Amino acid sequence: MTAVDLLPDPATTLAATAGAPFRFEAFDSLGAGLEAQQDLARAIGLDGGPVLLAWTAPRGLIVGRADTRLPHFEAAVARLAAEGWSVIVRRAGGSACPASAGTLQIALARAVGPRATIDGTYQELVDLLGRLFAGYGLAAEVGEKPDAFCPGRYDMSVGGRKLVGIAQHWRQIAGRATATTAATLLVEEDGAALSRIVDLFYETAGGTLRCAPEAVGSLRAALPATSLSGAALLVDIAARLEALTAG
Amino acid sequence: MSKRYTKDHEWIEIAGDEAVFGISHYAQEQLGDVVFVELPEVGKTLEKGGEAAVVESVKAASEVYAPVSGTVTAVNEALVDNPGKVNEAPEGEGWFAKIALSDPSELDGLMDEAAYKAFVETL
Repeated sequence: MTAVDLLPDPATTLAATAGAPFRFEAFDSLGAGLEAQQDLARAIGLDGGPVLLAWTAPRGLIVGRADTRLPHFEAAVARLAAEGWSVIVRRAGGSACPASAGTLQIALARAVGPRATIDGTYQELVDLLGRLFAGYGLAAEVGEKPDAFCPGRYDMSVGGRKLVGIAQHWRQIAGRATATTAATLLVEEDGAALSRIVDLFYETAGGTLRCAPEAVGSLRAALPATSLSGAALLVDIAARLEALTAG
Repeated sequence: MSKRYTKDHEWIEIAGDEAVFGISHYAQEQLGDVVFVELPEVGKTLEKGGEAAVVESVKAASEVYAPVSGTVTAVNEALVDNPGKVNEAPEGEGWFAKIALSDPSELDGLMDEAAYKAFVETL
């Protein structure tokens, strides 16, 4: 567990991310993107305030460390490779979550003081993403979607379909306690196809988790037909996130 | 010797020539249902404050840090198949590892039960 004195507790107000440094990157590999996300906390400044990274990468399945203990994990990795999907293990918790060119990974890292809570640091990112959705005229619901892949208490859904899954990792860096909260936003993807990949992984690995294809959606599908799509939509989201964190 | 605690919510207790450590009741409460524990290898040398284990709950993942320096002599293999023991008995059957201390004086810098209780009440 991590905790450290003399650092501010994360505020959970809407202004908590104001002025946070932000960057948007497209990585050549999922591994490079995940590594950058896991090292994001090293960019936290002396004030301990939040830093944000939004990134994309070629498709792959991000799994939790517990998934590596499934009886046929290696066979599942090979099976997905045959389908053109790499499998990579993340340090944050949670079960398998697909990433692709149509998903945006959004991570927020900050130093945490002794009174910081897991829920408080989740809420900080949820607030930011809630404002992002509101900017598109969408109202997001927060709560677990048990039939969707990688379900968690801070799932964000629009119209009953999950668009965001969030995980969190606490660690000490150079003697300072940090929390990195990382979201996967389904921007423009076929939820049924992603659910099939997750199911294929668990079926092959010997796991019991299964997804309902209708439980997940995409931001693009929730927007009017005349809205942006593809790379333009990803860039638009990144620009809005940067504006929201500009202070 | 009674238990000692770190500000990072690990506990340690001397048992014969060894010390046993784990995470505190407060820590498991904050984490929620623990679903995965990664333990150090027996024989591994741990430095005080260095990464000793990983604990993952339904809410978050976190490293567990060595309360003091030493060499791992045993790990609680039962946690691999039953990580929920960390929730059921975090300061008992949910122990993580046993270590042979390399510098027993490091224990002096840790909180006793009363001090840790007072610390937690400030959180």
